[in-house]
Amino acid sequence: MSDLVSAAARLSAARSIMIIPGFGVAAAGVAPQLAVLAAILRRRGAAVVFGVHPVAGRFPGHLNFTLSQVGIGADDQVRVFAATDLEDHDLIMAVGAYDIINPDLTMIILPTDRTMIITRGVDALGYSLLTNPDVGSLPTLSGPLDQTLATLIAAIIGSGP
Amino acid sequence: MSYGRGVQLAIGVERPEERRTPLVAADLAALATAGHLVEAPSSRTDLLLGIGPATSDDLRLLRPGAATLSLISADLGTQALRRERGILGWSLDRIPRSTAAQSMDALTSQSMIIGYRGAMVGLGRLRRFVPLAMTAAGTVGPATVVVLGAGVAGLQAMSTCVRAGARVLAYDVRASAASEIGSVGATYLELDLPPLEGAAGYARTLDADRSLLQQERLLPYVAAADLVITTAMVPEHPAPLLVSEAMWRSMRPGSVVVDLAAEAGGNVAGTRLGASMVVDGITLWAEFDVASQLAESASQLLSNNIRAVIEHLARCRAAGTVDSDPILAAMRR
Repeated sequence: MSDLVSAAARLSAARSIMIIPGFGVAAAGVAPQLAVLAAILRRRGAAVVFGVHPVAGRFPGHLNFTLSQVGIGADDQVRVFAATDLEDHDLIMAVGAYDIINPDLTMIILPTDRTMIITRGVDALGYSLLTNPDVGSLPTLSGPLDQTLATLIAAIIGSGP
Repeated sequence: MSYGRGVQLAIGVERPEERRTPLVAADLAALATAGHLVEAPSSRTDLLLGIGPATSDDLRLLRPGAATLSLISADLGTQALRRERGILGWSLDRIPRSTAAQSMDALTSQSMIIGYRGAMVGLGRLRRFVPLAMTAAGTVGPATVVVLGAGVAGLQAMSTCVRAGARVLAYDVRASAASEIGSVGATYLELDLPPLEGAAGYARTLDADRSLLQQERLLPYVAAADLVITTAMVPEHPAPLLVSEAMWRSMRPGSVVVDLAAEAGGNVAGTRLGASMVVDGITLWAEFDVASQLAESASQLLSNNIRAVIEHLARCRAAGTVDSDPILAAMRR
């Protein structure tokens, strides 16, 4: 099973999903694809929320702005700060985030057993220029964000109604 | 400084125009729970809190070894008094832009407020519709906004104007600005000037030739804009001149220029610093105390920053690292 098919299967099976977007989502302009993905997963009965870290993006409120521009409203956005904020979700999907999910920077420490990372490149460093050891070692889809998300959405749609 | 169990805090006197408060009720309560009490300034005070620099009258109430913590660096007028009385000063505007110090970064939290306020004021002063609407009675909008400077205030101003439906164009001297400007749905203005990068993510000053060339290449964009918002500030320096009088005079009557760097001397020539005025139909807004105009949100964020510094200071005190801590060292003046 390819990484992509496996990722689509995990998203389809999950009942409660938190999507954590980083600056990469804003820079690559892929927030519309996240909104589509969330809508598909919700239609299949999953709960989907967007987790925003207080320092995600390049200015305070950056990711809140990016999400609101694609119709992901305040009620679908939660502040992610402590490890307990991740507890209630059976799948955590980080997208276009590198520094805020770096365990060495201790902002968000992703659980090893229920995490998926979508990144533009395993070595595509963030603002801090520090390497994130989780990227590539935890389940990771790497490549242009728009292509990865398009393929993932197609795989989920192809897997059933 | 002797802290005992908690830090003895006091709140200093501010200028009447300052409508923010350094500690809101929720943070006062949280600090009190942790054993840090707020009283009137006295010889018992460990730390005098303020937004502007501490006044001479307040400094005279403190004992030697006490300290002040304010958003804005001390004015030179009280330096001699501080030395004479042995009072240490920490400035929130010198907190490094690092991960560890992020919760204390008052410059960022207040810049965000200033950028938002500047955009709302500028959009509000326009005489025209902002978003695009194609109607049976004709098409209105979108308004065109040019934002100069893509730091926290600039990015916040851009995103606010994008939310309102404006077409937003932006420029910054830093090479990293293009992707950041694009990330909020604004268009980066490529002026074909060599990029410049300052220390620690801040801009630096330009030489005179480059500055004139920049003005020349910005002119057509400024002339076509309905609203220009300038946000360029260089730490410890006067704000750079970005918009000459000839540039804003090329704008249509009804246009608006908002200079958010007015307190640092302004990015726009020919404004009245600290005021707004209309010249030949063009509104020039260069008011001071911009963050105070949104005092509720500004105070909420600033108070959180100050509480984080106090908690950090208490931890350093307990660990005996007050003199070696890099964050406190950067804030000391």
